Amino acid sequence: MFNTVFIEKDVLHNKYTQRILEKVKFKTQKEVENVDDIWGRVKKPYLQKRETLNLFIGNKKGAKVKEAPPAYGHGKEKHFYFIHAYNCIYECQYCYLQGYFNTPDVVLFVNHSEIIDEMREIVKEHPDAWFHAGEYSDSLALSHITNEFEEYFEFFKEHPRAKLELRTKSVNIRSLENLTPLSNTYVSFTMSSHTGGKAFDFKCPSVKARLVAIEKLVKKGYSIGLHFDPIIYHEGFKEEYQEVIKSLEKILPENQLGYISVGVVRFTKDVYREVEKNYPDSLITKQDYIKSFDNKIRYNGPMRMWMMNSIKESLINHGKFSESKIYFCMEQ
Amino acid sequence: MRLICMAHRGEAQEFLRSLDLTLSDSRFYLGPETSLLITGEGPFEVMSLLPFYIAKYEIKEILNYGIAGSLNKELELGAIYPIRTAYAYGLDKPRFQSFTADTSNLASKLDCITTEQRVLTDAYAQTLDSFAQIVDRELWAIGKVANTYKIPFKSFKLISDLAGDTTKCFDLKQMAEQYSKELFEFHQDNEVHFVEHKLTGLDLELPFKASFTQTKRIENLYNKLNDSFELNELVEEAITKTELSSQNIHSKVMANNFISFLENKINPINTAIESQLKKIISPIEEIGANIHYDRKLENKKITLKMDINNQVNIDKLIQSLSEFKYSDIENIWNGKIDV
Repeated sequence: MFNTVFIEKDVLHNKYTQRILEKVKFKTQKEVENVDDIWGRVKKPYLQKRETLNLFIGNKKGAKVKEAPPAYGHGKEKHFYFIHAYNCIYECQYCYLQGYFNTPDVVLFVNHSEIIDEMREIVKEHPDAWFHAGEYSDSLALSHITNEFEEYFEFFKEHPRAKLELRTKSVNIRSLENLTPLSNTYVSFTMSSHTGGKAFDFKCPSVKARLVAIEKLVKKGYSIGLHFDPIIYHEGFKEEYQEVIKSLEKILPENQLGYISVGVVRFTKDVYREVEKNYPDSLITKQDYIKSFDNKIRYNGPMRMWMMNSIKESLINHGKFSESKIYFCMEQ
Repeated sequence: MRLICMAHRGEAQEFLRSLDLTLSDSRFYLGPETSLLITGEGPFEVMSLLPFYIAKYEIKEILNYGIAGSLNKELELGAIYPIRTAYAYGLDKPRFQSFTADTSNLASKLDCITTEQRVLTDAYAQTLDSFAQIVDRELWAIGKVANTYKIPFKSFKLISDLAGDTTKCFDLKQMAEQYSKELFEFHQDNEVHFVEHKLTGLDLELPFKASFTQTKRIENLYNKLNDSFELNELVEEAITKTELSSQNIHSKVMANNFISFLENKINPINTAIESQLKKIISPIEEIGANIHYDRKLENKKITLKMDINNQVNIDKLIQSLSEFKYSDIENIWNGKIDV
């Protein structure tokens, strides 16, 4: 699976490192002083992840938990995201990671107790804070090899007012199935139409598989979040999203639905340039965008609002979901 | 013209013997379709020479052949490998920029790191092997120059030795003739194809005159559509569906009509938005006033302009404005569109 595994000398005997090494397949292993000595030091083309993806294991230095930007999450509480990994094994055409880091190589941080210590400091001031996982990497995709959730669940059991969100497109729910769900823990899935999933979410589980994973987690007792984000226009998009929403209505009872975010595809200039380079034939690059209010590349305002309203109406009318649980993400 | 770049005359000797080349100056051999440049060893040698020959001979493609050291024991000595990406290592740290070769039709998974000094110790080789499997002295510089002049390049490296402590004992001169023969045989046996670049809209022949801005917009829109449609098909369809063909229409209007037609092909929702806006605005425009709005539809404001030269203008304006509902415009900005 991985070409070379680079391991910081300090974490060679860390229990998470050992677990990872037991489970991942790789060609060579190399010890390094510091992940940052190698990772991202040269510009590695994004699509080389298909052929020669490296894995780095180390400690997260600097800030481990960061305040999220406005309109990031649901409700009025403070939102933070914590950094447990960099980069992702999936290959979504619109993914901002392709222009964000200078390399597609994956980093797994193993100093989870230090990340949790930072959370502990934050909840002293913001006891109702949200903590999101999955900002720089899918939170579940490698969870069967990283096995860190138990430690996080312990923390959230001790802090029932704080909330944990695990953002994912993965159906790798084994590690969650082995844990007892907490009322303040949400597993949130990125959803799209079946066509959108096939066309844009390379190497990701299909939307159908994500629906199955949601159903299993619901039965297990987990609360679910949904992210209809990023929505990308394609022919028949309204009808196709309706189909997915109708499926959700059948498997997701209102009392286990946490929230639904709705957002339209957007790119920074650099990310869009990467998308054009990496996926020149994608429908994404064949659409007409403008430079919007925050200098990001988006559909024009009315188009964005039309798309988000269409999804929102469908969620209310076909999904029978409560309007109060729906919010628009990263909009003015 | 295609340019073969090689560092040393020793590596190039078989190419010089066998290709139809004439010595142009001490380093450059001119041929009818393919020429050859002896760059000398090291990135600075490449950067000081290559741009001159690119400019002088209008080079369209660059091919680099050469010997290189292995940073990975699994690579076969004597084998020739196509290179995927060129990285570089300065005196004490890696350089951030990298340059990716044209690897079309090649299953290349090997990268090369170019160094500013020879790799003579295992410790140095181990520093480099975190970034690439092969090390040379020129490729990154060739990539950088090629990238600057937007010229595609390919590179093939013959692995001469394992880079590190043993490099000191390796005598390149003794092996040069043999390596040159092997590289040339590889060159002869493997016809190298570069990716054909898509024609841009600048090559479009339109049946009407368009301004520079209109042409750029048409180019941009056509490039989004040209996988699915030929230009003449689009023009024909536009003629039947719009007023593109009318003799009475000014060419600027024809170009705008064609732009609208292409925009609608790409995104019919935007066309619906524009058409609803026009419907709201037209009663005001009919009395000689103009309503301007942000064409990107991001700024939620409109500007009304009208020349007033008599009372009738004022009366008409008052009448029109009394019937004008600002909320209709707000509805569009808020995405309430009839689709």
